[in-house]
Amino acid sequence: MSKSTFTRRTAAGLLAAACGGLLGVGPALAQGYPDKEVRLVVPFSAGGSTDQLARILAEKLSDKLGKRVLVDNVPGAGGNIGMGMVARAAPDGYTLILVSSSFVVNPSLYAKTPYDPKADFAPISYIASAPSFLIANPKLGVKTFPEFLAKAKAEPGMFYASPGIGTAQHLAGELLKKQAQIDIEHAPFNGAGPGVTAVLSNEAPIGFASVPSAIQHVQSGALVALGVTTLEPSASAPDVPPLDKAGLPGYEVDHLQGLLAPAGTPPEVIAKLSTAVQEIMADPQMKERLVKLGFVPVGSTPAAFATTIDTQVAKWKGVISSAGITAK
Amino acid sequence: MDLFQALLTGAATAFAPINILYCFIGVLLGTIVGVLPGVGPTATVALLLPATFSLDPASGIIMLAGIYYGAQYGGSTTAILLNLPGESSSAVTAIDGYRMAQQGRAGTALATAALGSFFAGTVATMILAVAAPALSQVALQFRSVEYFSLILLGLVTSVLLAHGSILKALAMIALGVLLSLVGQDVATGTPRFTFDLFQLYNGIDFVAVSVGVYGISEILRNLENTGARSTMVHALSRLWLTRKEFREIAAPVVRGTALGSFFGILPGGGHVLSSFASYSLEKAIAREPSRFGRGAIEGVAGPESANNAAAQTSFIPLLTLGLPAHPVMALMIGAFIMQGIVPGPQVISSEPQLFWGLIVSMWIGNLLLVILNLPLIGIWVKLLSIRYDALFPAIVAFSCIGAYSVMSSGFGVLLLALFGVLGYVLVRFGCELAPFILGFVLGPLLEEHFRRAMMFSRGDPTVFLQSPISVGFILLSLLALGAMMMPGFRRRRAEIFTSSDD
Repeated sequence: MSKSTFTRRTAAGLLAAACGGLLGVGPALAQGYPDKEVRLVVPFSAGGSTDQLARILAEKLSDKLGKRVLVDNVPGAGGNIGMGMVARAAPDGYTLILVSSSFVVNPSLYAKTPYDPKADFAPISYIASAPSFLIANPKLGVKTFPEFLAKAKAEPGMFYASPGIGTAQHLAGELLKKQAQIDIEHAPFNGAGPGVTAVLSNEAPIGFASVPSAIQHVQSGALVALGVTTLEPSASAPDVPPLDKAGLPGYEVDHLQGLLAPAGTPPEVIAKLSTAVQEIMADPQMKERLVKLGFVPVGSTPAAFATTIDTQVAKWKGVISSAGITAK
Repeated sequence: MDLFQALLTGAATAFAPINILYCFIGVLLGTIVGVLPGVGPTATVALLLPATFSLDPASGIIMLAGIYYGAQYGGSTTAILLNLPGESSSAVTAIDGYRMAQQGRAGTALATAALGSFFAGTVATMILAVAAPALSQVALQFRSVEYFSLILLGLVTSVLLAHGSILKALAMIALGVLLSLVGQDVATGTPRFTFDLFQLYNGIDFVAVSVGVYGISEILRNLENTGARSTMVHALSRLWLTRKEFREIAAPVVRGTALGSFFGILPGGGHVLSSFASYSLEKAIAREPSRFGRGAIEGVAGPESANNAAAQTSFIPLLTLGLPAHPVMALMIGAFIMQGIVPGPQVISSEPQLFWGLIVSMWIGNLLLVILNLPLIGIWVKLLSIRYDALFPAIVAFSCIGAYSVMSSGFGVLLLALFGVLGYVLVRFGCELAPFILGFVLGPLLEEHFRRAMMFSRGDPTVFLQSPISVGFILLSLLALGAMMMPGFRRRRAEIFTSSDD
């Protein structure tokens, strides 16, 4: 495809998008898209939660678009390899990427990242967020978040387990430390399973864990869930209060999952994809599946997702620099 | 509900024709991906997971489990025939299995692997049925301190994996550990030895290393003696075992099963250790340890049984505690949750037909694997009669696809070439590859558990002496070291290696 085609398409697309309005009617030029298979890059290995979400989404998106959407795992360097690759991919709508919170975190965490979260990408939709639990071993003797706060102030230096450096759960811990003014120390593990196991065996008395990795232990009583990191309770455990309401007003960590295309992708293609994703996310069966996997379904517009990215990049920059975390 | 009744409940589920079909599909897929280096069970399960949502929970989980243990089973085939181990467990099988293949005993080695795995699978499934709830707490007794000491013991005894100089074996372990440190530090995220290459942030990939140092370097060595032979082996002998060979493998299979069943229960690295531990044990107690590394049938029988037993018992922490021992297990938890079943101690009572159905299906799966694999041996062995000039390019292409597919990147292929040359050089200098691979596999676990144990103890090293389990492993390590230093042991080694240097 020649460069001039892009420019013409882009200009026409801008005009069409401006006229198209909120009706969701695809402008004429987007009707040709897609005419071949679409590659959905997941910047992590097969099997992680983002990968699982991508595979469910790809199946539904294939039906909507009428062409196969193929998941391609490009793991490495905390997602940097895959995100860097898509940042430089042809902006024709045939390469998309599903990112997790590392997309907004890595630029502050790494000395250099092969992408710029704002300049290199065109947001399509904030697909879902994933809450985490603050979990405690029952031997710690706390049942609620205020009890935990008192305990943590009395016994400084308590370790909290996370699935690793720079994960949403690690940042949740650092934000807790900063906002509640308590002295807790990070103990990174290698993945969600080992992090939860550490709290179960009381190697670390507390920890942050994604809802699906911890829910069964909370239900069986092997772990106490002191709070959830999102503003709303998790659908799988409605009794566990948001930390925001349990004594830390304004505390929020949502592990975002969002769909992006390289910057310069024709707006009508972005609009078509975003509309398709929003329709998919409105489907009750899809919602139920995601809730079971521990996600909170969202399905936002491109503009709303762009705002979220701006807010979160700034937020984590602040937390990371004040906590002195670095992977440099 | 007594055990007999429970197994009947399970049989009713597992013997339903539809579930036998899904079990067969699972083990067949598992065998296929096990044979291909680089295409692992994790990617396969991830790919098929969405397809299981619409299935009955039992059918879906039976199929996914089949892929997992089927892959453990299939992994040995390419290791034995072509010296291409795609997983750490088959790296052990390659040591003696490939030598057996060169001696024209490929059929025997493959049959041994199949029979050993079947026996181990049957016994480990029984252990799972009888003792799962009782054994579940063992996993929680192991924390960083205990895992560190266990892995230390594994590394010390791995000197036994080598049959040459002890010094060279130790150097190879150290080299393996050093290379395994490449990548981001678990505790701080700092990239180490990455030369600013993002591709190295997650470390050097195992497939590139093992397929490179074993498979590619083997081809390089073979190219040296041009014209000597046009195929790998002359005599393609029996595909079955003699009565004598049956007697030889009986005890190693039983010991491997016992070791593997124990290690499988430990989610923090047990399944990785099982086959190495079995090989070390067989060699340590063998009457003629010199045969190891030169085509000893025990060196195939023990580790293959251990590996398969561990694959089955690693379902114990999964089913009773919801603890995944392997990335595949983490996916299985996802599969359970999507079906509305929360893995944990209550599964046995709340979903008896699923729990017992899965256990009975594992036994059926093992039987299906034997039925599937024994007739295939004849076909596999024919591969060896292909001429070098056709076989070698095929192996290289096959290896490149495997190395490429891990990260969907040509970087893996470059690494493969690099490690092929490294393996060639090492072997030319008389250094052995098995201790190197073990160091490479266990290095990250050793470091991770050591660093974390020291962090929790706030830098106090006596923490390793405060846990009885850890003290036990450290004492065993010291004993093993002491034995290696003893003049008697060294003389025995020396005698063996001079007398058998044929």
